[in-house]
Amino acid sequence: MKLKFGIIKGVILLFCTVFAVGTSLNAQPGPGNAQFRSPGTNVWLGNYYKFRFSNKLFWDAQTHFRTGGHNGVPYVGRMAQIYNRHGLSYRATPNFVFTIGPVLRLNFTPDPGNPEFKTLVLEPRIWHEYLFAIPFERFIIYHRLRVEHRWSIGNRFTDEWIYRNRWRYKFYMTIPLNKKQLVPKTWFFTPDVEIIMQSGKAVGGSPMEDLRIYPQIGYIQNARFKYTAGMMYAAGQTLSDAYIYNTRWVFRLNLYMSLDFRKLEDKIPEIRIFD
Amino acid sequence: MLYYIFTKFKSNLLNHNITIVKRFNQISLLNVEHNIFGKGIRLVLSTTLMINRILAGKMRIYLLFVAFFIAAFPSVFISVEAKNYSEHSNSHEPKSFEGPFVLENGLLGVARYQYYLSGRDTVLHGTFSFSANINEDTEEGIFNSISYIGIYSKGVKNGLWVFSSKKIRPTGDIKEDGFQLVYLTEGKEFIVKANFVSGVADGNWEIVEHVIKNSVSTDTITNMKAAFSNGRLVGSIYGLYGGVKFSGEVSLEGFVDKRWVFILPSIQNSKMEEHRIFDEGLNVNHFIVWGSDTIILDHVGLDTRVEEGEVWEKLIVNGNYFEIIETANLEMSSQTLENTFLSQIKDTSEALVIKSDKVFESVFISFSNKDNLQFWKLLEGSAKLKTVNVKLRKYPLDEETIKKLEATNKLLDRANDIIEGVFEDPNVEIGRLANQKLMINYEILKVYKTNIPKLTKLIKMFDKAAFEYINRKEVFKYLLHKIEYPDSIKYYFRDQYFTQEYKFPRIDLEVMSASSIIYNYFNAVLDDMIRIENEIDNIVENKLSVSKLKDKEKTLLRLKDSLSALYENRYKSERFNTYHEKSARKIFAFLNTKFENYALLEEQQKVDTIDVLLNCVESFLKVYFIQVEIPMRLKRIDEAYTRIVWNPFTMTDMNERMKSRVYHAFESDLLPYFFSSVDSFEDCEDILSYYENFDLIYNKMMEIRYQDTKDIEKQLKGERSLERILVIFNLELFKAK
Repeated sequence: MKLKFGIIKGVILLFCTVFAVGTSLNAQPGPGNAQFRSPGTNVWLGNYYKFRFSNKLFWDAQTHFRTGGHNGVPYVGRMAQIYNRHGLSYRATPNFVFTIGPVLRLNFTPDPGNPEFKTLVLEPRIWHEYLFAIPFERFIIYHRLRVEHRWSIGNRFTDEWIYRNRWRYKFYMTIPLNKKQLVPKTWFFTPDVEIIMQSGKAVGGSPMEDLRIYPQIGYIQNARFKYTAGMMYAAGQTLSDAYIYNTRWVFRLNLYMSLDFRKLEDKIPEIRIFD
Repeated sequence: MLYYIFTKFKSNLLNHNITIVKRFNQISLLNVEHNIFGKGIRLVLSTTLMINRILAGKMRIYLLFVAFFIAAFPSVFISVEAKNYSEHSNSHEPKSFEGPFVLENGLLGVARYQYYLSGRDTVLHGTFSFSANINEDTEEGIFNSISYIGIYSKGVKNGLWVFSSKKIRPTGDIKEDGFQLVYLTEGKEFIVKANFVSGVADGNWEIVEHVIKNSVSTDTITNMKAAFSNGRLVGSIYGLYGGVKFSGEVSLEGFVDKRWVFILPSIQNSKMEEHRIFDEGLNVNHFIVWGSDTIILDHVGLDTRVEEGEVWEKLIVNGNYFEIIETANLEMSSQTLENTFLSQIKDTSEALVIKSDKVFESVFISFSNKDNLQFWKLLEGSAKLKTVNVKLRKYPLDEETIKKLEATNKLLDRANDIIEGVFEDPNVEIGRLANQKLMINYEILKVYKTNIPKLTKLIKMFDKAAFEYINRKEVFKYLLHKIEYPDSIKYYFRDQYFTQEYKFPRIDLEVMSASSIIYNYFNAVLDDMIRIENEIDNIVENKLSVSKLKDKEKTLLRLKDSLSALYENRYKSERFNTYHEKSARKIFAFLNTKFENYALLEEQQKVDTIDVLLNCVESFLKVYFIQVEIPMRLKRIDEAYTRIVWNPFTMTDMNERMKSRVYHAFESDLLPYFFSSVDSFEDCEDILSYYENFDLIYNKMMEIRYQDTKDIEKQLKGERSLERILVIFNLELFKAK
């Protein structure tokens, strides 16, 4: 029990430090001519659902409620986006899953009350993802390749629709902390780095949309529920000026839920042969 | 001429009888009778020869040829025969036959007889003689031949007939006589001379049986003379049978009547006569005259006086009747002879009566039967002899009596079992020498053992048909009175003679029905025997128990040592677990108290309680092995209620508890209850039952694992009451009262 509390205390301390650092950082000149804007702050509350239909097929449903800093209120000053991602996952092997589906993001005005901005614009996407898991004795490494075809428009009334492709690669690990395996009642740590590249006419010299560094702490309650929390640092080129980088601190809190919609008899494991 | 020709060829026609019948002047009929297959089926072959006396001389060779042809191929002429036969078969002209003849029982012999044809039927008419060898015992060297000589009149026996049966066998050495080798013979010849009128026995009959020695008739062992009228033996009959002279009478109605006297071979130079006095078939008196003394023979159970309302039946004087006579017990009395002497000669008298019975039966049978051969029936043309009868009172068996008798039979079996069990038990045989009580019971049973065969004889009577003609109450009373029970038991024990009074069962025979007498009597006897058997068993068992006590105590200590070794884990067994550890102290404390208490007991008390203590230790041993299973079984339940699911977020397999409310109730309520109950045992019988609760819980959990438990889970929601949970699980666990 002492160990558990020690871990929890450590995690809280880590978050506080990162939070404090995140809110106090200003734009810094980067290598060469690169300039980093003062980091924005966001909170992303994410729900991740996997509904199992069969031995191989899942319905992947993700929803994010995202807020951002505004008017001196960091993280939660305004409603930023509502993000709906759905997909059909196919478990080709226990270590490889392919998913494809649509996304509809609702982008709220970056400056509520400003008439120059539309209050809400929609951003549809088509996405497909290739997730590989490489299990080790004490942890698991994941490689995620995700491609998104997005049609977006800014909130300004003068903005026009642009089409871009996003090329995302994410590397993350799940490292159990209080147990040797990822089993129910396990605390775990997830180092997570993702680079998001983009292409398209409008992209020009800003191919790197985002680099996300996202350490998380999580807890597996049982086979159906797990929770993670983490502070994500993200930096990426702006579309208009490639040498200027937007930076963000995003506090993320996620709920992961997997439900099995199969019939009872399909869920029953194989008969055990007792000694 | 023709006769001459066929006589010439007769040697070639061995199985053919050839006769020449002259008819219609110019036509002669040639008959060839053939015994087909030797089975007595006669085929008459005939042909018509157109013989002209003028041609006779020239036709001689031709006729020779025809005769040969007939002999060799008789079937060719069948159709010819049929035609000619039908044309000429209605003649009543007598004919003669000599050749094979078959009796009704299939016995083949040779007959010579006269007959005529009526339609297709051969009607015997005139003299008849037949002889045949029975050849039944030729392997033993006995030759049996029978013969008949008599006269038929239009197919029925008429006048004097003689039947003889000869049984002889070769004796001595073989001798030469001319060109023949011959033996002398010995044996018997039985002859019946009978008279018939129109096929019915009528007139004087006589039976003679000689003994033959060295081929010469020597002694006459049977000679009976009787008169028959209208098929029935009537009037006086007398003679000798099997060395017994006899005389008697038969009434016109066919009943044995008046005085029948059997003069038996004298014993110790005293004449022996048996007298049976009949009144129209009813035997009213029976006695033996032994020298100058008269011994009255009373057939207990047979009625001798006809009264109204009684059922009387007519019975043939045959084996059944004599079985009844012999079933009824013979009581002897005499005015001149002492009872002791009478009892001494009882067996002799009974043997004499049986011998007379045999003579009596044979007297009537012999006129138509010899060695089970109904000889008059074998030849057509005579009616069956009418039977000679006696009268007997019948005592019909009612349903209740039959049931009682059957029940009594079972009681007898039980009694015999007891006798066998006790007297073949070596522990009783040896034990009685050391245990006085055992000796007394043994001696009492010995009295029963002596009497049981008498009772058995009585019971065996039930199975006989004869029993229905016997006054059972009288017989039972008579026999039961004959069974004597002493007033006391005398026995020898440890160099001393003892006498002890004992009341053997007695019942009032006068007040009961016949069936109740025997049943109640047996019941009383059997009750007493069972009581004694139980006493003997207890004594023997107790004796054995004491002798086995030491062995049992050794076993007890050995088991206790094993138990200690197991619970102290002296062998460092991997199976030793926390449950053993937890219960060890209490079990030892419990057992130590038990052993201490046992040590303070008297020997007999130890005998009484050693088995309980042994069972107790054995129970704890069983508990040990149940405890060995507990962790394994808990693991199995855990596994059974866990399923492995693939988590799509971590992409790993994870265990998931299934039927979580069921498992929770098991884990949080049932198991704690089980473990608390096993610690609270007060008795060694309880502890095993408590541990067996685990089996019930385990089996229930495994049973409902694969069942739909929605209802159970719904009911378990928020349920904390153990009683309620047990009801929901439908579990009835043991609880000490």
